Amino acid sequence: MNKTLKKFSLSKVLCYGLLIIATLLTVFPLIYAFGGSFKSLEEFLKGGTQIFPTEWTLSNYVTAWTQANFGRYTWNSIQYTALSVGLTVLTTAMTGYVLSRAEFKGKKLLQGSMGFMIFLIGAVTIYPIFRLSKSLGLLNSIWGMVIAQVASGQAMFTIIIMGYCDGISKEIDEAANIDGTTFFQTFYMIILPLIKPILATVALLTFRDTWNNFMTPLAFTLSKPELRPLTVGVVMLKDQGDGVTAWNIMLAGTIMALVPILIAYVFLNKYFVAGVTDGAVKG
Amino acid sequence: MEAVQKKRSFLSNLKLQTYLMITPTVLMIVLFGIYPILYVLFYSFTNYNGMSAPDFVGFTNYIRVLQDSSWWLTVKNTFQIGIVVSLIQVPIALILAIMVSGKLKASGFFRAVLFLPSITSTAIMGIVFYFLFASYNGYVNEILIAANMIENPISWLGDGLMAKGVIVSFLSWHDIGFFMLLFLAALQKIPGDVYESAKIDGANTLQTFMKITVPMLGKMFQIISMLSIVNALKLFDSVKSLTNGGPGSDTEVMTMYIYRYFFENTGIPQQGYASAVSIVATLIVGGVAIIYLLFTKKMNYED
Amino acid sequence: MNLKKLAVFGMAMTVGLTSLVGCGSKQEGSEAAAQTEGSTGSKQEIKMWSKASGTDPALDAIITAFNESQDKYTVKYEGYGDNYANVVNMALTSGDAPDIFELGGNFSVPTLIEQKLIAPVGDVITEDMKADIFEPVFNQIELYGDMYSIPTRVTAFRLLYNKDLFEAAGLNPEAPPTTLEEMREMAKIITEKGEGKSYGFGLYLGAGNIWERVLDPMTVAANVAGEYGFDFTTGQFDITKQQRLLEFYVDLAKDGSLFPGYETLAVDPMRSNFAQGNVGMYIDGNWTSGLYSTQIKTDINWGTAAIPVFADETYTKGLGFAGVDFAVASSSKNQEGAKEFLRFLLQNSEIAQQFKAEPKTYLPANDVAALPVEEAGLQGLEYNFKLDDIAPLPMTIQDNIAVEGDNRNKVFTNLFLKIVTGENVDLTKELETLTQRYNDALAKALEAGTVKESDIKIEGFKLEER
Repeated sequence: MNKTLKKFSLSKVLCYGLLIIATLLTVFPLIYAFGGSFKSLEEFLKGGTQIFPTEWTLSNYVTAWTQANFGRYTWNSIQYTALSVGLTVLTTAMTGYVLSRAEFKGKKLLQGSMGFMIFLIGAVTIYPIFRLSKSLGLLNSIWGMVIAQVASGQAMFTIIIMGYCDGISKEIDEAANIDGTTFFQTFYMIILPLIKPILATVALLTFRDTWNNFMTPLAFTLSKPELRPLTVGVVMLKDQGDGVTAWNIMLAGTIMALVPILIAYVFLNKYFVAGVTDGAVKG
Repeated sequence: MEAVQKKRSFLSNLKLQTYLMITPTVLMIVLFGIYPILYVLFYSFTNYNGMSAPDFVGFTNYIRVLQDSSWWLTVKNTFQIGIVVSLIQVPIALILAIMVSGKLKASGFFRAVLFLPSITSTAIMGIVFYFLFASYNGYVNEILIAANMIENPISWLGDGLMAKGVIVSFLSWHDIGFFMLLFLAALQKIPGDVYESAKIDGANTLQTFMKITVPMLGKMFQIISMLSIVNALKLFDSVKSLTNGGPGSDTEVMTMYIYRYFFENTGIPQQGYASAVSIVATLIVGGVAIIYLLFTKKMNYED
Repeated sequence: MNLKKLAVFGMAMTVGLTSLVGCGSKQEGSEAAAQTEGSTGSKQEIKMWSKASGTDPALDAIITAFNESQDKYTVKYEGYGDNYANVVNMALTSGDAPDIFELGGNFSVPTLIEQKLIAPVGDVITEDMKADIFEPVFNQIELYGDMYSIPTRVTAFRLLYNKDLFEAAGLNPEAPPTTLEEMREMAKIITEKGEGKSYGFGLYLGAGNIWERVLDPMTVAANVAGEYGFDFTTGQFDITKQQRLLEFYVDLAKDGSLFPGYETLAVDPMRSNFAQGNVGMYIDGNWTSGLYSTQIKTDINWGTAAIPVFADETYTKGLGFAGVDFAVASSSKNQEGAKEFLRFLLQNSEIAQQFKAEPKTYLPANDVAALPVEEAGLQGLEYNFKLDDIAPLPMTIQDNIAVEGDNRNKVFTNLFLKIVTGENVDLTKELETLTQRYNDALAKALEAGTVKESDIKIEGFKLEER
C-alpha cells in the first residue's frame, strides 16, 4: 500500500513540476506582450529587462479601440466566426462520417482531393478565390467571407473527424440499423453525441483560424471596410508607410482580441471531457 | 421477399442521404480547392506579370525552378525547421495531453493556459519574440548576462543556425497547446478499463504509455503528427515577422519565396514563375505527406 | 446533441441579429452620408488609397481642408500599410479600384499605362503652377507624351548623425564627415568611446531596399554609376562599379563599428535606437525631420549632412527623385474630382508640413522659416530641405525588368554576410554574374518593348550634368 502511494506521488510531483515549468514558459511572452501594451512606443522599442512599463499608458487601448474601430469590428468578428464555426462543424461532421462509413463512387477521388487541399498554400490561392468570389457575387459581404473560410477548413477537419469516426466501432451503427434508423438518423442521434470531443475540437480550431484570419477577410471587404473583422483592424494598425509601426497599440489590440476567444474556450472546455473513463462505448 | 424490398428502398435512400450529406463539402472543394489549383496551374505555363495578357511559355518556368538554387535553399530551410519542430511538438504535446487528461488537480487550468499561445496571432507574437531575442537590449540576452551565464550578448537572430533555433522555439511555444488539445480529444476514445487492467497487471507509467496509449491512439496519432509536419512546411507569418528570412536568406522558407515573387520583388512581377513555384511546392508538401502516411500505415490498429 | 443544438441555435440567433444589424448599419451609413452631405445635396465620394496605415495626420489635414472648401466632392482615404500592393492588385483586377491610389513601390508604370489602368493627369498642373513645381518632376513623370501621376514629395537620402555622441567622442558636432574615410574613422572613435552602449554606424540589413539607401546614392553622387550600376551611355548594367562600396561596408563591419543585430535590423528598430542615442550615424530619408518629431520622440540633438563619397571622388549631385506619387484609376467615375483634389493636394502642401515636415514638390511649401521648428522640435532641416544638390536619373530601369533569380538587394546582403563571417568570396566574379543576369533581363524587356532603347541609352549622358 505504502509503496504504491509513494510511487504515485513521485510521478505526481514530476507531473506538476513539468506542468508548472511549461506554464511559466508559455505565459512569459504573453506577459511581456501584456506589459508592452501599456508602454509608450519609445519605451517598448527600447527593449531591456523591464517587463512592466514605468508609466502605465492606457491611451494605447483607447487608441486601439477607436482607431481600429473595435466595437464595430468585434461584432463583425463574432458574426463571421459564429457562422463559420457552425457551418464548418455541420459540413465536416457529415462528410467525415460518410467517408468513414459509406462506400460510393468517387470516394477515393474525394479523399484524394481533400488530402491534396491540405497542401495548398493560402497566399497563393487568394487570387483565384478572389476572382471566383467576384463572379459569384460573394465579395464585400460577411457571407462571402464565411463561405471562403468554411471551405478552407473542409479538407483538414473532415479528415480529422473521419479518423475519429473510424475509431468508433461499426457495430454501433449496425445495432442502430436493425432498429430501423436511416443513415442520417444514425449519424444525427447516435454518432454525433459520441464524437462530441472532436466536434468541440473542430469548433475551437475553426474559431481560432477564423478569429486570426487576416488575408481572406481583407480581400472580401475591400469596398466595405465597415464589415471588417477584428484581426484586420488590429493588423492594419501596423506600419505607417515611411513612418513607424505603432507596436504598442497593436499589442493593446491583440490583448483585447484575446478576450472573446478565451471566453469561447472556457465555454467549450467542458466538452473535452475530464476523465479518461468517458468517451467510448463499453461493450 | 419483404426483407429484400425493405433493403432496396433502404439502399436507395442510403445513397441519396450519402450524397446529400457530402454535397456542401464537395461543392466547396471544387470551387475553393480544385479551381484555384487549376488557375495556378494555368498561369504556371505563362509569363504572366499580373496585368497584361499572359503568353504561353510551356515548361520554361518549371525548368527554371529546377535550376533555381535560391529556391532549393528555401526548401532545405523549410525541411530543417519543419522536421525539428515536429520532433519537438508532437512528443511534448502528447506527454502534456496525458498529464492534463484529468487526474491531476487544476488540469483544467493548465489546459487553458497551455492553449493560450495558439490563439494568439503568429504575426504579432513573432514580433514580440523578435524583441525578446534582439542582440541589443533584448530581454533574453539581458537576463543571461545578469545571471552571469554569458559575457557578451548573443546574436540570436544574426546567425543562420541560431535564428532557425529561435524560430523552432517560437513555433513550439505557439503550437504545442494546439496539438495537445487534439491529443486530448483522441485520448478520450481510449476506454478507462484498459488502463485499469494494465495497472492491475503491474505496468508502470512508461510501459502503459508505449504499449497501450500510443498504439490505441492509432490513426489520430498519425493524423496529428502529419498535421504538425504539414503545418511546418506551410510556415509563413511566424517566419516573416520573426526574421523575414534573415539573416540574408538563411531562414527563408518556401512560402516566403513564393510570396516574394508574387508581391515583393523589384521590377515587373513574375507571377507566372511564382505560380510554377507554387505548384512545385504543393507537390513537395504532398509528396512528404504521402510518404509519411505510407510509412506509418502500421499505426492503424482500428483496421 | 447539446452541441449541435447549440450550434444551430447560435446560427439562428446570429442570422437573426445580422439582419437586424444590417438594417442598423444601413441607417448608420446614411446618417454618416447625410453629415458629410451637409444640407446641400449629395457629394460625390472620391476614394483614395495610400501606403500609409492607421492615420496620417498630414494627409488628413489636407483632406479635411479640401472637403470643407467645396461642396462637390468628399475625399475618403484609407491606408493599407504592408498589404498595399496586394490589395491594389486585387482591386484593379476585380474592377473595384479606388479613384486615387499611391504608386509607391512595386508598380510598373509602363505596364499600368499599357493596360489602360491609370489615366493621364497632366492637366492637374496648370501653366501658372509650373514655376512652383520642382523642375525635375516633369522629366521624371512624363511618359508617352503625358503625365500619369502626381508626385508630392522630393525624396533623397541623407546622412543622419547624433551630435551628442559626436561631442562625447571628442568630435566636432558641427562637422559631420564629408568623405567615407572620415566616416569610417569617426565610427571607430564613437564605438570605442561607446563601450558597448553606443556604436558608430547603423546598417539595417533587415530593410529589403537597404542598398538603395546606403549604396546607390553614393555611386550616383560620386558620378561612378547610376542606380544598380546602370550606365546611361552604354545602356547596360555594370554592377562591378559598386564593388568598392560594398567592400567599404564590409570594412565597417570588421572594424566592429556596426550597431549589433545589423544582420536583421529593420527600419523601425534602427530609428528607435537612433532616437535613443545608441547610434552615431546612419543613412535615412529626408523626411526624417517630421518623423523624429511626431512619430518617434527623441531627446537627442541630431543633424543631417550630404552623403559622403570616397576621398578621391567629388560629390556633385546626389540622388533625388519625386516620390509619393498618386495616380488616378481609369475606371474611376470621378476623374475630374480626383484631379481637382490632386491639384489641391499640391497647392496646399504647407498644411501637411506642420504634421510631417518634409520637402514637397510644390516648392512654396518648403519655406523652412514657416515651419513650427520650436514647437515641433524639428531638427536636421538644413540638409533635409536642401534641394539644389540632388537630381533624379532619367529612368528607374530596375523597376521595369524581370530579373531571373535573386535581385541585387538580396544578392548584396547575402554576399555581405558571407564575407563578414569569413567565407571566401570572389566578389568581382559574383558581381559580374549578377550584372549578366540584369543585362539579360534588360535585353528581354527591350525585345518585349516595355523598355525603349531611347530611354536607356542617351548620347553623351553625364551624371554630373543632370
